[in-house]
This record gives sequence, structure tokens and C-alpha cells, in this order.
Amino acid sequence: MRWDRLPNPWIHAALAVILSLLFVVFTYGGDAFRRGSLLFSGVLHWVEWPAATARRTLSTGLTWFEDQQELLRVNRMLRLEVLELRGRAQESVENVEPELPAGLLRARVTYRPPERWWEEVRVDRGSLDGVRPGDAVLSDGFLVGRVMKVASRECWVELLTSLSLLVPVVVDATRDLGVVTGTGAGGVQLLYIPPERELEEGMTLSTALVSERLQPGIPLGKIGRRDVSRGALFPYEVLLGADLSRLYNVSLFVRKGEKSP
Amino acid sequence: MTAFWAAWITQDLIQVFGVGLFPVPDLVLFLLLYRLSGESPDVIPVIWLAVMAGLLWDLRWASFAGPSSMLFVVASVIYYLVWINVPVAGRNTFLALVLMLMSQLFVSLGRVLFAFGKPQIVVQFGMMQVVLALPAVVVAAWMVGRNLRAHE
Repeated sequence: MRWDRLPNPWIHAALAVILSLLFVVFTYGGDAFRRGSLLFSGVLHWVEWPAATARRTLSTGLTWFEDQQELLRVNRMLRLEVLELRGRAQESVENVEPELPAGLLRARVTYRPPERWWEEVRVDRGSLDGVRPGDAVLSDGFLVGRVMKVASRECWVELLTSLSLLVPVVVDATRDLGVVTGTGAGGVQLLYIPPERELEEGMTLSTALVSERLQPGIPLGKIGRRDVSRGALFPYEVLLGADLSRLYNVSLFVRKGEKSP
Repeated sequence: MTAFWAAWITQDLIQVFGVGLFPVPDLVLFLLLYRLSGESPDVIPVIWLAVMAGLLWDLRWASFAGPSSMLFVVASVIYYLVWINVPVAGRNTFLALVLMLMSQLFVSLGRVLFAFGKPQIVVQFGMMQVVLALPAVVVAAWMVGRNLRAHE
């Protein structure tokens, strides 16, 4: 029986469906089908060339466009990053700390008890940084106190305004020796100047060479007016070079090469 | 036969251009359905042309042969059954358009199901292919309508 002599088209349809199903069964996952597919693709290669070329051109164009968009996006991001980094660099340049002389340690005041405001402060340097009791503490280049107690990572500083701190000083202009001590209320006095000496206001004071731990020649401030004498004391008011009412950062004068106990 | 090859190659070229971008409409199927829309269509050649078109399509674009040919045959037979059962007065361009779109949807869904696609993807793909096939279906339906008017 020939296929075209089948009288009923439905029989042809059924045969076509069965044939299709047989193709599904016998070609599913088969290598022969893959080889045939590759062969057929090779035959169609030149027929499909225009469409393939158009596709490649379109893809290249789209890729170029996407690349441009990506470049613009990255460029915009980098510009923002550069601006941010410039801002940060400017900020860090502004915040850079001046180089300290040898032996000076910069420290931050971490605590200042209100009830002992003019007596002491706590700073964030300790024995691990080479700080020892008696070391000089400076602010803006002027002596503000001495290290009193030292812990491993912090220490307490007794201020010049403290009643209990006595610092030997010399009047730079006359080489007169005296002692500076605090009034306990924010003031500082120069004591033990012989009464016959007439010191003028504005004369500068610096530390005297009388202590192992306190280096000589550290400036304190200037002499102010002479106070009313009290017994054998002939006190002078001292105008400190540093502002002790606002003490946020200080420098500790430590001895280089010395290890803390 | 020339029209068959022209439709098949055109569909293949569109597929080459748009593979991965959009689903190509089954132009060969519309040609076959157009052939079935005449007054006294020759059904048997159309059935075997559907088989050949499907097998060649699968040979080029699928990993196994048979699904497209079976779907083309079934779609053609259903189209023909509906078409001949509609009174002559009711056969018009709109009917051809609707039937062709339904046939395209059937073939799209069936083909993706054969590829073990997820139901959601199958529906999305089918609907997309129907939408993209709309221009070709409109042309085919318009040709059907023109033939119908020529026979009146």
C-alpha cells in the first residue's frame, strides 16, 4: 500500500503523529541526531550568514553601547570617589599634628574631675609609653603641670594651679630663683623671691635646674603684678602661657631610652 | 513547495537573528494553516509538509526530533477540523486570525513543555510568541480572507 493512496486524511495524520513520536523516542539523547544536526547546520551556514552577520553586528553594537554606559557609570563613581578622597586628604592634612621634638609625647586629656578642676587631669599615656612620675607636661609649649601617678596606659597630671605642686623656676631676665605654686582657684603664684628684688611685670619664667625629672628651661609664662606680702612670702602673680581652663591636648616630656619600671 | 521553503528559511533566518532575544513566530505553520483554509484543501500533503517542516526545525534548533512535527500536525488537524465545521458563511478573516493565534499558542506551549520548561516560563514564552506572531498571523488571515472573497 502506498502512502498517498490512503483514502482518509485522518489516517495520514495519525501516521504522522506516530512517526513524530518514534522520532522523539529514537533521537532523544542520541549521538546520531547530534551529528545530523551539526551536518544540517553546516549546510545552512551560508543561507543563514546574513542573519548571523546582522545578529553579530547588533550584538557588537549593543555591547559597545552597554560598555559605554558602564564606562560612564564607573567614571561617575570614580569622580565621586576622587572627590571624597580629596576631601579626606584635605581633612587629614588639616588635622596632621606637628612633629614633636624628641622626647615629647602627645597625649589627650581623658578626664578632668570637676571637684578638682584646678588640681589634676588624666591623660591617655602611661608607663608603656615611657611616662614616669615627675615628667613635665606641656601645653602650647608652656609647662602646665607634672606627672603625678602613672598606670600602664594612662597617668594623672598635677596642674600648676594645684596647691600641692611646687615647681622651681628661674626669672629669665634676672636669673632669680623662686617657686611656682597654685592658689587652688585657677591662679598661680611665684614665691620665695627675695624682697629686695624688684621684678617687673612681663618677665618670663622657665623651669630651673633643680630636679632630675624636670628639664630646665621649659617656659611657664610671665610675671604679673606683685601681690600683698604674707609673712616671709612676697608673692607675684604668674600669667601662665598655656590656657589651663581649656586643656584638651598636652605633651609629655619623657626621657628617651628610659624604660618604665 | 517554493512558498514552503521560503517560509521555512525565513523563519530560520529570524531565529538565527533573534535566538535568545525573542521567540520566533512559526511562519511555516501559518503557511500550512493558510493552505488548509481554502474551499477544498488538499489535507494530506499539508500533513506531510508539517511533518517535514517540524523535523527540519527540530534538526536545526532542538536536541531531538519529533516534537515540532507532531505539534504542527496536531495543530493543523485541529485547525482543519474547526474550519470545516464552521458554516461557510462564518469563515472569515477574523476566524482565521483567532484560530491561527490559538494554533501558535498551542505549538509554543507544547514545544516548551517538551523542553521540560517550568509552567510559568511556558506560559510567558507562549504568550510572547503569540504576540510576536501577530503581524504574521494578520497577514496570513488577511490572505485567507482575500481567498474567501475571491471564491464568492
